[in-house]
Amino acid sequence: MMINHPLLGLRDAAEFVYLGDASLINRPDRDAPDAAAAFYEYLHLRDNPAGTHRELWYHEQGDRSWLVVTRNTLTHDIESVELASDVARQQGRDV
Amino acid sequence: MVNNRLSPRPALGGYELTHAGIQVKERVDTEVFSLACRESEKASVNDGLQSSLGVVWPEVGSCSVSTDSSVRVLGLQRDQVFVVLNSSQVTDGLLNALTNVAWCTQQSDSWATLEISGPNQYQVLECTCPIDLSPSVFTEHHVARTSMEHLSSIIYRNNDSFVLMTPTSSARGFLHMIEESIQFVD
Repeated sequence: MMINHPLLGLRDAAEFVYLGDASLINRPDRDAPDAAAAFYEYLHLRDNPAGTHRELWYHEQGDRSWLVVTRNTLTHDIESVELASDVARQQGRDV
Repeated sequence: MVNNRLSPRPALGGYELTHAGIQVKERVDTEVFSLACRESEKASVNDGLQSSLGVVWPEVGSCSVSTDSSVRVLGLQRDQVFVVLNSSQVTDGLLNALTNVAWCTQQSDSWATLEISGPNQYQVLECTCPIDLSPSVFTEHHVARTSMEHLSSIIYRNNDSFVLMTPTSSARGFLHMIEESIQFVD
């Protein structure tokens, strides 16, 4: 499988490490009143879609960037690849 | 009293091999410095590199080479580059200049450097390197950090040859992998 890195172009998936659901970017606020419930969901509950899935990949044997890869779990087609830092900024995070 | 003296030794003992139109040679005169900075500091770091070494902070995957080709900056990450130059160029003045422009660490002892050349060099590298090294795709101004046979490596082109950098901790295994690949070249 090849991953089209936003900065480096097509790179072999062997250079990357898979982490999991891209929702891990959205770490809950530990000071929020519902922090316990939010962290329970953040740590333990995952969707398991048959189809489009947004997931985190780390370019360990490359430029050490985190990517958000949108992949179809049925076909393994990769629909888009974004830098996780760009995704976080789009969500208003200061990274 | 025993007077023991320590002297530097190349990671691969100054390895050299010529086989089937391929030359492999360990570079023993290369110094490597890592520079890192925050995104917000890039402009001032760039000015410092330009004035002290005549190079710029390259994009990820690109190299910046000084006019006389003596200094090469490898764009490895958005916030980190490697400065590669000859041992004879390292002076206190240069070290001060590097330290002043960004977070600088001396990495020369951490990396073994092999240069591979010759008409059949592509046959060796296509067995080991997952990067497209075609001259039209991977030019003198490109660099890639990748893995070859699961071993961490950095590759860039130097005129008609390729330079491979690998951590000294696994350099002997990396060299074994290159030697094995060469055996398959007719």
